[in-house]
Amino acid sequence: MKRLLALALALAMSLSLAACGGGGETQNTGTETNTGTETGTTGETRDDLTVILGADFTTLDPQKLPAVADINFCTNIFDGLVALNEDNEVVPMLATDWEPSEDGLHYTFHLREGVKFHNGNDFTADDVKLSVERFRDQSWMQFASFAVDSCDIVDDYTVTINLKYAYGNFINMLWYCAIIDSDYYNSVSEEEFARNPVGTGPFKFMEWVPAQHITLAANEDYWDGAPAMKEITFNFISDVNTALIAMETGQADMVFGTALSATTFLQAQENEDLATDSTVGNSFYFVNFNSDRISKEVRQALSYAIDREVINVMVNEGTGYVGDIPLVEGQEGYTTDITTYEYDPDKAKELLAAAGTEGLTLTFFYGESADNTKLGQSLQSQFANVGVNLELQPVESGTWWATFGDGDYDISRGGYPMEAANTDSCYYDMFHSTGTFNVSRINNPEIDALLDEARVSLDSERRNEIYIQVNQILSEEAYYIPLYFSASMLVYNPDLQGAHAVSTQNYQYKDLSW
Amino acid sequence: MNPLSYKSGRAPLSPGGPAHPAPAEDEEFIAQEHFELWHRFCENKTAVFGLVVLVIIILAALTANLFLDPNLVTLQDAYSRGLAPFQHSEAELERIAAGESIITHILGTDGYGRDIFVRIIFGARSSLTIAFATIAISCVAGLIFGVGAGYFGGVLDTVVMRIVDVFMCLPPLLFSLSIVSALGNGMGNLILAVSITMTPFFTRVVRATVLSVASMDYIEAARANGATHLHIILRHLIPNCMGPIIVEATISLSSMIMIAAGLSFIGMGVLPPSPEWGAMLNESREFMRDAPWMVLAPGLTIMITALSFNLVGDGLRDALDPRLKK
Repeated sequence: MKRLLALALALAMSLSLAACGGGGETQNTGTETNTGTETGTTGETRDDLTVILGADFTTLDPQKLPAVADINFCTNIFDGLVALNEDNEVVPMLATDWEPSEDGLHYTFHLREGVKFHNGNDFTADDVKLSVERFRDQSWMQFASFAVDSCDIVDDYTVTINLKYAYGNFINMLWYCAIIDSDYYNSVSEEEFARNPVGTGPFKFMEWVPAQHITLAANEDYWDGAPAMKEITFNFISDVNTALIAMETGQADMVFGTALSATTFLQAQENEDLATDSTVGNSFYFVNFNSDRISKEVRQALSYAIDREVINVMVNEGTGYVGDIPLVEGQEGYTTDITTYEYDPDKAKELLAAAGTEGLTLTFFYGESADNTKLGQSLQSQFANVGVNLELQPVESGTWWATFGDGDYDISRGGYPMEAANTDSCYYDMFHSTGTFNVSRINNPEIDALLDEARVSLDSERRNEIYIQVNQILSEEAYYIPLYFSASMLVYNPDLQGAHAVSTQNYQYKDLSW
Repeated sequence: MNPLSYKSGRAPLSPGGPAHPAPAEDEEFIAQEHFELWHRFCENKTAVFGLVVLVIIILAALTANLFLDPNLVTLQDAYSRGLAPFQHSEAELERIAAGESIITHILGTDGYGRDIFVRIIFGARSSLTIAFATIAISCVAGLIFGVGAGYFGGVLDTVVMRIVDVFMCLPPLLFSLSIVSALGNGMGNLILAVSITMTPFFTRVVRATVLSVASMDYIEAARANGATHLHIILRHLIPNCMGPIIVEATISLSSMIMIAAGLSFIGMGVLPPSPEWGAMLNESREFMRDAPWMVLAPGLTIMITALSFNLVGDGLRDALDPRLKK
């Protein structure tokens, strides 16, 4: 009964929130039209930008952001010591250069002088020390900060970051550490800090109306030059059709991520007034077998039963990129020398018969979403072709996240945003027996040993060899069916200069102009 | 839309209907009564129209297996996605040329390449089962609570009716949604949830009817003759309360169709790939701009079915209460 009551209350709350959101959108888009027509009729060059985001934020504290999309957004307000450019190379930001010690345990950073925070405070080593230590202590940042031990100030513009153990990929993950203003942080409460972010980035935070919009203004004193866009409004529109209509009517200039679906992207492609771009995204999707329950023979048989091209059409309207491993060329561990399972339903039936498992009934456990429902139904239909009955077991997606670790399922699905420059963090998370996203319940001592070795290896060549070996074991064991990389899609106003689809969807608005 | 709507805007029903003789043993009289009822119902042309539509839908749902292949309900085809009505994909045309017989997609195909007409016909089974089952369960429950409260009165009446008041404070759709969330998806849970939600409404109607019937002379007479409570309830009270309950049930059936479709629309009802009109509506929503027929077909089906139930319900009400007309 208590559970029922809690559920009822939660529902009532979410419904009323949704209602507020809906009202806000219409109101807000209304005002946007006005500014749009004004600039249009006077013929002046615009210097404002309106972007659609699929979801509102829970916080703007750069070290408590729960989603990749939120982290990407905040890189426009905050700078890190370093950044990853679009070729996934580490480039200097607030640190001008750095040198690691020989044992790989200490990194010394020389900081950029003369940089100011949005509130006018100077950027110094104190800010870096506070930021790095907070980065180390926040639970949301553990995926990137697990190797950090401490930070020492050498002088006002030099710091040393000490690691717990030599972690070869440390520098590739450091861009996640946003540099915050220590004076500002110490003078306000955590709540205030999360609502009014102050950074050194190209854009200043102006206003946040929950469930409606966030406004940023150009930081005219930005150390790398003032951005061309003077004001950016981010509208939250969760419904993809509403978002597309906003684009078509000129109420917004850019939409990507969860505010865009494959269907609306294809509709936008047919519209001459809109520009579109698409590239292979960094999120890879799997069908994960619970390897505690399903034997290797059955896993391999079912891998032959899946036509991934058809699934890509059913789920993504064909926009995804079917792949055999969750890596792209150039990443550590990328190889084509693995076991692949081409679609072959007859072979699947043969193998199932050989394994003595005719009339198998399995459950597919997933968090409810449009894409997952489509995937479930496609799998169901394809498994039925080889005589396997798949029962769908949808749960609310929050429940899925809370329970997949010990959930009672045969098959589930995982999608993982791959780190372009770090195979370690994703592979350890998904395939190590202690990984936090081990949806396949892989418990293979050989893989564990290899991943442990790669984690502390400083030699990129050696890591590459290890991950190739891991990929070979993974594919041979068929712990999962690799599906596809989702596409990173972008729909934008054709007048917008510098806009193109970015694999990680980490859009830097300072590079855009009219 | 609002499942509550049938509560308001309707003239109060006269309980008991025309003077039914107390122990109605006279078969001829009953037959005559029924004939008159049917005659009055048939005078209402819209109600007859609703009845004809319903009979067609129910017959189609029952006999679907005879003229349609049930495998087509779940058969996916990546090459026949989003076909317009009466259109065939190239792959299908080739197979037709090769002499295979392929069903004409009267209403087109959906996002998985499944035939929409087939799914709507088979979907009628889920929708109608849910509607009839929930009404049956909540009618019986409402009858038990309503007669208990209305006939015995006193503390029992107060307790039952206050509980009913509490339950009626909750919006029906939200209440059903909460129950389904707690119990999990599936048709059984959906029926249970909606039945629990609907019971208070029936309890109210039954109690109100019972209150007026219980003060009739023939009940007094039965009591004076020494009839037991059970005898009075079963032989005199309930038969004379049936009119308003039948009307209430028929009109509620349309609300049930809507609630079931609504819950399936948000993914809380029948599990995929079973066809259900509300779920079909939800699945086709994203293709609305390119393939409007995908949305129109289940949407219009829901509308026509709900409307037909309403028309029949109105017709029944008029027929059962001759004083209302003329």
